[in-house]
Amino acid sequence: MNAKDCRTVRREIDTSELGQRLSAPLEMHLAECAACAQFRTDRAQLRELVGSLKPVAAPADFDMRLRARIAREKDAGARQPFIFRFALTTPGIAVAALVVLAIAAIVWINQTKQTASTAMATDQPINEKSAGAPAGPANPANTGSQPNEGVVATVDPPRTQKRLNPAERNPGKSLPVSLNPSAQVSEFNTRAAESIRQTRDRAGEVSLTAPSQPMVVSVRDANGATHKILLPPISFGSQRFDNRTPVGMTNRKDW
Amino acid sequence: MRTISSIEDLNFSAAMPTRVMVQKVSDHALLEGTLAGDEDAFAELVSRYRNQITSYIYRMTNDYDGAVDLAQETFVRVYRAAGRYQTTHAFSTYIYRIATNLAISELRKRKRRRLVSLTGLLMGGEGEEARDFDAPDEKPLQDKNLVDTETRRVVQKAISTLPEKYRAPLVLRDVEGKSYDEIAQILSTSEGTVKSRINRARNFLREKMRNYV
Repeated sequence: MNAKDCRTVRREIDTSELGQRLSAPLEMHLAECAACAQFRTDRAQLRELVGSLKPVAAPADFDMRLRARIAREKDAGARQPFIFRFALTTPGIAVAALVVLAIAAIVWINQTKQTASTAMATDQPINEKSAGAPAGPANPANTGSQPNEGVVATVDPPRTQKRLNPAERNPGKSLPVSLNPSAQVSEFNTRAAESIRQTRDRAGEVSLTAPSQPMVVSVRDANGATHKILLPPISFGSQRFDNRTPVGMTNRKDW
Repeated sequence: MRTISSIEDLNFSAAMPTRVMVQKVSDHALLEGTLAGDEDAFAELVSRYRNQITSYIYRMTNDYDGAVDLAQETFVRVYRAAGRYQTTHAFSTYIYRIATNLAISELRKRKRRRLVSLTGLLMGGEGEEARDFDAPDEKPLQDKNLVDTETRRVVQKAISTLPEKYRAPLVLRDVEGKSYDEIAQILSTSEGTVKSRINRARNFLREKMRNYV
């Protein structure tokens, strides 16, 4: 009699019905094995105990309460707007998920388009430069190598704009400017911005020139008629660029 | 003219109504009737299973009021999902599965509540379940009824301390008398797993009730 036999017998005892007669070999084994016989007795007692639990009956008003509950649920369902009832169902959740995905896709596609157009715009000046544009001091870092240039900061206009000479920049006089419509827009994303150079004797000071008198711009139209546009003087206000030099609005137009 | 020698000679069979064969309508047919809007069919289903389901959930949860509520919830779900019921399984398997799921989720809720409730340790009733199984009083009780009542109380309490995965198969097998195949279908598991869990559940129970067995 080995442990394997005992295991088999006990499994059989466990799975058999209560009070069921076991097979002849098992009965023989039980007659010889006291431990398995004891197991059978214990199991039978335990199952009888558990089986002795009396069934519990539902309360008398079970049906009535159930009907009331179902009716209440029906009423609640009918009172709710369709959208709320639909939102709690699986198709409703699926539709909501689809809507969210669609919105996310639209936003993503728009962002992708914007990025692509910006990339195309930034590619443009590279092409222009390679086409033989003059290598001006486009980068402010390059200005450090030319310290002896003018006292007043010079502003390099965009390459496409007409460069004004000092006489034209005289604030007291009206300036006849012939405006080229194609040169009116300066997009600094596509072209270099003006560089502002600092001088040695006024280190840390930035001079900006602005007319104190109204500037008059004469524009000639296609019929040859001249139109004058009066531009009021521009004020940048008083700004302190660093702590060393007190700055304020002066007549020299230096801040 | 024919003479009548005995009462059997009187032929009443033609005059008497034929014997009415009361055929029990199947659960499937009742559910189809429910789906078609027949309230009586649903009432018949409820009357067939209300006691079984209430008793089963009570054995699982050891709380009568809660068991009645969950039994009602079981029938509400059957009513609501009548259209989705598949006739591949017996209706009893289907309704017991719903009841088992509800009972197990109730047990889990209680476990979570116990984790966050410190006052539960001091409470009686439902809070009492939070305590570990207490050893029985070993003094003999003279009255047999008292002994039986006490024994049943101990058995019920011992069952309620079993882990839920052992509790459900044990109750279905030893209290409800379901077959292993049915239990496997109700619990959506294999028959081998059911047998193994029942064996373990009995071993647990025997340990807890060694003063009674």
